[in-house]
Amino acid sequence: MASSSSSLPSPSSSSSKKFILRSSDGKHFEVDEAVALQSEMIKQMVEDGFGGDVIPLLNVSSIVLSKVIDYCKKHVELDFKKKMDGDNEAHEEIKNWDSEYINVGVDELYHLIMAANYLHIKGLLDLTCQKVADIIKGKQPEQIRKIFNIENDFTPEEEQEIRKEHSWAFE
Amino acid sequence: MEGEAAAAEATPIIPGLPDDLALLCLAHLSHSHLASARSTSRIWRATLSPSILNPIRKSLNLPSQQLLFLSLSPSDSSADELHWCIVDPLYHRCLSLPKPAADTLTSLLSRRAISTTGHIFLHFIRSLDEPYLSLILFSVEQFVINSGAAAAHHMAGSSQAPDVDAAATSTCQGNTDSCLLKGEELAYDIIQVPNEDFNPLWSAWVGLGSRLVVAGGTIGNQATSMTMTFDGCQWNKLAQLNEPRFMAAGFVFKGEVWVLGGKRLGGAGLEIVSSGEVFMPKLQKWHLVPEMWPKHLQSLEEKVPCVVCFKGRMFGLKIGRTYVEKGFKGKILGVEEDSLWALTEEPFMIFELETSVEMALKWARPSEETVQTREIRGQLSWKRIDSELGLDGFQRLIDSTLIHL
Repeated sequence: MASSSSSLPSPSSSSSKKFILRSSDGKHFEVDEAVALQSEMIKQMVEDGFGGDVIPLLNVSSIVLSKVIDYCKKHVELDFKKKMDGDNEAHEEIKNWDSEYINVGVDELYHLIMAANYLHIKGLLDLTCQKVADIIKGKQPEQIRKIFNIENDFTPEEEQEIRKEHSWAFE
Repeated sequence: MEGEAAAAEATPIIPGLPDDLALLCLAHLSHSHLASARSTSRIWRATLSPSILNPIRKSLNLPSQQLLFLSLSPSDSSADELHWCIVDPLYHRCLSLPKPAADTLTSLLSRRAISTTGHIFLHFIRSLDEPYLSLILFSVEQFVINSGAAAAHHMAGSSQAPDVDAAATSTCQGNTDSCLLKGEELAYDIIQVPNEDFNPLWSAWVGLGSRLVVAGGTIGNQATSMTMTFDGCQWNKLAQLNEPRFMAAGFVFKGEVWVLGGKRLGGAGLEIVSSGEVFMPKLQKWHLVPEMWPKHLQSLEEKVPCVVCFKGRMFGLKIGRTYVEKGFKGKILGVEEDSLWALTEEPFMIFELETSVEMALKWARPSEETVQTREIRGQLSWKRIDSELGLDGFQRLIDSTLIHL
């Protein structure tokens, strides 16, 4: 697991406003404004004047939220770096960090997808959805069923037919 | 095949994930992995079809996976001569579509066909009496091929050379039953261009989300920098381009509209515009990127250059050709540079619709490494498919176009 790096200089750490996010199970998380605003949903809330003291996130548990905050923190940091060091280097670092970050089981992945969707964090949603597609890639139907807990509801005849249709897909 | 919908309704696509999010995930699957995934369960089989996934892919700015080939007969305006079909690069099949309810369509401008999330726009010259161009608006839904029912005509394994693909010969036109079509004929609307001041030729056309963007072009004999958008109901003016240009490439890259290259009339005659411009929605302005368009990507003779997205990067697709020298003193009078190109990412295929000298619709499957080399034409093994698809002949191909759906 990529441990969240402690106190790298964030874009404007000195003057940065703090937000407190409250998870569905009542835990509080204090984050920098830039980190919180990675979420379009929070951004909208703040713009609408709801950014007061505590922002309740009814659909996100503390376990998932802390993972999501890891993502947002890292991306704020990397965006900042991108501005300083130029595109290419940062791009590579983001890619590596993301692929490490997303290396989780499907259940955790589902929770991240739902949280990213609820919080409107486009980068995280893209990353997690792509991960599901990557898991499917190159797998046989039987393997896919096993991973995603899907029942094979084809009749043997149907299966025969499909197999014929896509015989080249099973090579 | 879709009969079991009622039973399938209760089944989640991916247990543990709401269906809308499951769809979002599955839309990230590339075409070449869909076949295997479709064999997973009934609900996956019903769900993983282009008609469901294409709109999602488009809203995510993922490369499209279906190609539409449209063809019209130019000389005879009778609708019987119109030929419409969809080319599906994965299954290598061509599905004929019912003819449009067209009476006055005469000429399709081949490089002026664009699809948005909801519509396909074609630029037509409507009749010879009417010099103005018209836009024809189809609903995209009418064109979408339903899931791969006619899969018998698929292509051989992904790494095989196209010319050993025997299955290609069995491609047919008769599979209209697997088309998702509402009614017998293709319905369409004719859209008027916004006003007489803005009816340009050779603009860059781009479909972004549900909107059509028409940038630059020529009005009269002048290159224009005017830009308009059309949302399906209404035309709106956009900011002007920084540099007037026509025959530029229009392209969507990472959700942004780009206009690249093109030509203008300079002091010394026709010249290539070497800049690109990208539209910044927040500033409502075009941002000029100087010198991003190497001049060798576009010759003065050819019409519109081709820009493609491949593996998340933007490429100018220019396939080297020998110039046809005619006339005297080696002066080039005509060049073989009048093709339409399209590219599909997975499987990686290049399509060429040649409407100048040879008149052919063909495709090749280059290796990825080939793309990086400068001179790829010689290394490509092209396969002509026009006659197999019943599209051979000058008449069928001259007024044709390729659209990514």
